[in-house]
Amino acid sequence: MLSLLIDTSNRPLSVAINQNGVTLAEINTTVKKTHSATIMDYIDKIFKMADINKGDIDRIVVANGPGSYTGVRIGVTVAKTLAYALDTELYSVSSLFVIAASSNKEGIVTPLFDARRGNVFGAVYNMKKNEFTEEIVPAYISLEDLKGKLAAYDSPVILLDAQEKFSSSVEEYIHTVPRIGIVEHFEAALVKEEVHTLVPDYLRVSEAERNWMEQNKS
Amino acid sequence: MTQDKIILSIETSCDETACSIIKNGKEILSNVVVSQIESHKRFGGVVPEVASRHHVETITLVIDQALSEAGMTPRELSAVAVTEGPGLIGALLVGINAAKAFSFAHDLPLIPVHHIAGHIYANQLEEELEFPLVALIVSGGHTELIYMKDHLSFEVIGETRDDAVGEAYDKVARVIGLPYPGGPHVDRLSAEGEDTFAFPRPYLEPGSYDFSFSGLKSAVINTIHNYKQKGQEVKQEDVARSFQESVVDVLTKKTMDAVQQYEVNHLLVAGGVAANRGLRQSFESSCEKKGLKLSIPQLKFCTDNAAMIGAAAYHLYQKEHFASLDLNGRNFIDIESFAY
Repeated sequence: MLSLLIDTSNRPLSVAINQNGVTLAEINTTVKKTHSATIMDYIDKIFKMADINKGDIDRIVVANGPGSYTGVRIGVTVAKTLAYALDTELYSVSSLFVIAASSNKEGIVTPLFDARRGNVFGAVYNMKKNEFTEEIVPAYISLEDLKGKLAAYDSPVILLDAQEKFSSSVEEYIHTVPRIGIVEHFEAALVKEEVHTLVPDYLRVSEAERNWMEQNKS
Repeated sequence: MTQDKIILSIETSCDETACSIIKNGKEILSNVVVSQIESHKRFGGVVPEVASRHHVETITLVIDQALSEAGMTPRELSAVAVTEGPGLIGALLVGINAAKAFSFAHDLPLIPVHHIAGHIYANQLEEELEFPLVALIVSGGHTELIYMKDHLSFEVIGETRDDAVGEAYDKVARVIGLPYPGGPHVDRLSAEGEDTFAFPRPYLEPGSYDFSFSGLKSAVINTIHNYKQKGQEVKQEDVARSFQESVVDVLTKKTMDAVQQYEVNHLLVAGGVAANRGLRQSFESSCEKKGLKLSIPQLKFCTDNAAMIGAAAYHLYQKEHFASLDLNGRNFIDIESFAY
């Protein structure tokens, strides 16, 4: 089985082509470049690197959030359009799980993304070799609240992409670059999607909608 | 015999998710537009983040529907076109990334199109353009007078220095208490009122083809406030009529002056505000008097749509104006240089 995997959720970008779960080619970057300009170029490149015809792809896996709203949208738009145009299956995976899997850690891990004003997008996973349990589902939460919840676990490891603005408010963390190809080691993390109904998992309504709901509370 | 050029085009620069299939720049095989207006009404205007979210929800659906309505398979297409800008950047990026993915998947050339060029070429869906021509673009985001001596040759001879005309309409509508989007409501009320307020006509300095609507907008708002402070009732219809008369007078006078100076054969009016009945009537009578050919697209081609992008893309295809996979969205693009 051939898979194309895509993650543009935050500043890092990760694309990979896997054959039966083994990565044939991948590009992972953490440079500050516009994903919109690079993503299709990199996908074209990994097809060439892997020497694979795009028509042979069986499924597309996309990290569908949380993360930067624009970043997640770019990945999801590309993934659903490619799945539609190439007539492949489509799967989503939490962008936080991509970090957990990329860490190669076993035990309790907590990937975090900055969500501004002291808040984070975070989840807690108990990682084992090729399997995992989701201890705390991906959530929009204050960093302090999450730290409180982590107290219940034995030596939890915090995973950041090292550019997160709040890295100074976390005592200890491991710098983790997302490598989306690795998520196929954890089939249970992948969610089967329909092309026309896949939308990003922003985990937050937009600010305008929040304000509107606030004003229209009856 | 030249081969037919069939272009699938995508437009997501603001609050319409649109895809269309156009043959040879004018024959519409399908034209799908999903409007988000109902969602944005509650905010009193288009919210960029909300617009972007809606685009990603419907993008593959509109592509699929455009293909099936046209009875086309991707194999029959010659190219994929997409609005590169100007527009809301997050909204543009959904259409651009979908267009790039689709063109990559089907090995089709990718044609980036300027949104305003699209509005101008909307006229080509109904009749041939005759050069030289002048085009007046009036919408919620744009107010421009453009001179074209040939296809894809754009010279901006006038533009707004502040508010776009549609923006002024929406703000005035809000102050009179009309729902968003206000333009059509002001137009409707205006037909029942009189020009009693004599609002200023902002012609700017002699010889200028530029526009300015913020002073006029303020004059309307101040007048209404003054009436309210005195406890007097303002007749909505008269405010609407007086405002519209001022706008229409200025747009018509400047455009007809440009037509005269540039000695053109054809006048085009395009963009959402081109649907305004007061504006249409004014141009129809001015052009009839001069014996000048006038084109104003029907309503569905005045507002944002992808058919117009496909119409413009046809000429860009002829010029082989293609983009590579690193095409990015741009919230501002100079129309004078975009096709060169």
